[in-house]
Amino acid sequence: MRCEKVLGQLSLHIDEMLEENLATEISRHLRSCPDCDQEFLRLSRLKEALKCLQPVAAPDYLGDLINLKIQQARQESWQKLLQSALEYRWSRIKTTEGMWYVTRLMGALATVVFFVAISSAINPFYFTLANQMPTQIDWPRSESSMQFVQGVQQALGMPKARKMPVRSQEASINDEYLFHLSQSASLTDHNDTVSVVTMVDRNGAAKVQDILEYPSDDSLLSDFTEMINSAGWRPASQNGRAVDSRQVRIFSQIYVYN
Amino acid sequence: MNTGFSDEFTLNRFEKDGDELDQDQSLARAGVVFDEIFQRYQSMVFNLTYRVLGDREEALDVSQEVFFAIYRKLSRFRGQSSLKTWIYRIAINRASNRCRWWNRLRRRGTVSLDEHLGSNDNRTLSESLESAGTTPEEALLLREKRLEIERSLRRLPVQQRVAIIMRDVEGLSYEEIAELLQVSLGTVKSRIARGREELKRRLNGTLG
Repeated sequence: MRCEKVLGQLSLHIDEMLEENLATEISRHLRSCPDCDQEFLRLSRLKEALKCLQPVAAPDYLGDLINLKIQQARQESWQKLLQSALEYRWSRIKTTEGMWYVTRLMGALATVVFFVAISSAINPFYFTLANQMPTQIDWPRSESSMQFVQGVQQALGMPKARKMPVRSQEASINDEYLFHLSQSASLTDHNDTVSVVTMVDRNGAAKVQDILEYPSDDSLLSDFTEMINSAGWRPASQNGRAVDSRQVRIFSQIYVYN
Repeated sequence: MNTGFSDEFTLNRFEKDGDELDQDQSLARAGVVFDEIFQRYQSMVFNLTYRVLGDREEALDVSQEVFFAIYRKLSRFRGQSSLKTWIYRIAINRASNRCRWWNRLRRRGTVSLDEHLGSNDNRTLSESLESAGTTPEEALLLREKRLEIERSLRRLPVQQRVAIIMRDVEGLSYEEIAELLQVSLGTVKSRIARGREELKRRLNGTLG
């Protein structure tokens, strides 16, 4: 057995905490190795010396001090107690445990973010889309910024910009069959509703992008999706040019043929 | 939880019929039980805190804190561990915290702990003589040796110091120490081994 290994185990050996085989091996080694034996002897002396440290007598007045403290605590009002507890906590935060509290706070924040993210992923919040998407967005412009732009344009000798009126027309369904179907009132007690977000591109092809409201009869949804995709559409136009546009289509009170 | 401590004194009788008593009676009883606890454990708590902190005044202060905490928490003590274990744990936690506090102050340079530790031996002459051998020379030598050991012990890192005190001074088993400090057995073993190694190195001349 090597000396380093024996020296590492001496502390446990002296407390008889080693398994029997290992203890026997170490004892054997100690008999044959004077250096290790010397170390063992020093360790025993240390242990003995520590054991012999004299107990220190508690002063007689310790009990009086504690009684005084207890009596003080009884007399103090809860406001004072709260104040001293807060002061104590604050001094701990200030002096010793600042980082501990910061990491706790960050952990709590991370937990809140995590749970909010998880819950919104399970039950996503849908924005209610307007039936018609705006064809022109009126960005708010302050008068002064407009004046500045006009001033720059004038200084550069540019012609004054004219405001172009935007003429636009929304996309519509050309397919009469689908149009009538979607507008038909229910004759039976079926009262299903489908509402979908449809993208009509500039070539007149439509595609269902999102389903906002599901019908109770699942087969209706697939039928409608198929019909929307295959129907003939007139694309939306803006200043005479065909553009892509998004629409929300609501088919309500659908009459179901047998 | 069975701790293995020989603690014949338990709060069972206090706990068992606590429900049937009205509040005043139970408070009065708590006072009696507290007095009993104080009489029984004051020297244990004071010794432990003194060994960990190495300063009589600090030990006195922390002992007061410990007993005040015991007084306040006594009604909530449900006997999951033995009373001795519970008191030990409070004392060790408070003393270790105080030690760390001192260490932090020292690191900030607010106070010199060495200077603080230098003036620690506040024992009376009679106490010193009592603890010593027969002749004054022997007494002096023994005293010097003991002081040297105490000084080296104080310079150990807190965790190692606590483990060494519990094992070699208080004579607790490794399992008891692990339970008290709420660490694994392996950690206790390594703390004790490292602490002893460090002490041996520091007390090179004293141990021979």
